Amino acid sequence: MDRDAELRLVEGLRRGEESAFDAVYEDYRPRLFSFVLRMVGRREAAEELAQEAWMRLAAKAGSLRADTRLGPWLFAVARNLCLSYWRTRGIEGFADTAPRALERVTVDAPSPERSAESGEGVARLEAALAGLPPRYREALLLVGVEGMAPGEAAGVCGLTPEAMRKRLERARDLLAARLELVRSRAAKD
Amino acid sequence: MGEAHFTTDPLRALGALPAADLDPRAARRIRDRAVALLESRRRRTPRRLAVLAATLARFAQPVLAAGLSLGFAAWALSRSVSLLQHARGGFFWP
Repeated sequence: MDRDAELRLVEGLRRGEESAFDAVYEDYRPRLFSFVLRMVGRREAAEELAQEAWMRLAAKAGSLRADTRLGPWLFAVARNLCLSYWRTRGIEGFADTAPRALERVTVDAPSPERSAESGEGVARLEAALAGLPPRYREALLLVGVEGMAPGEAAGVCGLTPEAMRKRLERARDLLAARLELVRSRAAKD
Repeated sequence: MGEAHFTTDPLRALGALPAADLDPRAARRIRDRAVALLESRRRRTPRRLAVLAATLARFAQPVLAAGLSLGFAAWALSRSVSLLQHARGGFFWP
């Protein structure tokens, strides 16, 4: 979505236009849901959190700033909801459910045409990602999957750009190490 | 998208991950709830303005009347004091 189109949608949202909401919902729904699902690890919880994020957009639409960037705004809301979710359940509980997230995201993926090899690669990548601590996972998801600029992702996570750069470096190393681990486990099996 | 692709640059490989989506019924339900909320907020804004205007209109008249009365009383008092001072040829207060 180019910036002009985005600004038009923001204007429409500020006026409470249903068509503007629908356009934003179509564009961001799968991306936002995938992000939340990969962060919390449970489909039911992810549905609830995604719903809450969309309800917040509807509730705050009239007071959005005219220059709001919808992606960072939505992902910041979703991230904060995930943080609240963890706080109420404890981070240990989250770690237990991470492998389930991997299974669900991979199963849900519309990829019938993928080769067996690439399907395995995706599954391993999901497994490695699900095993990362949430703060590294969110950085990788925002920049690697969503394609946000590190500066934008820093804004979503409430970090300085420099802190985000360091976190990304560390996250990338951790992911590479986890990928190796997952691959060696798969080779043993 | 083979094995090598995922291990050479993990960050770039993430871009190839497929997106999951809500099931269609849940997606529709969430959309309908959000749109209903959007609609109710849009209706509420003009209604709030109307209520504010009505409240102001209701209270403005008595407040204005009280203000004018107080102003007139203060002016009359000050004028009386001034006249008395003038009549006694000096300060009214000994």
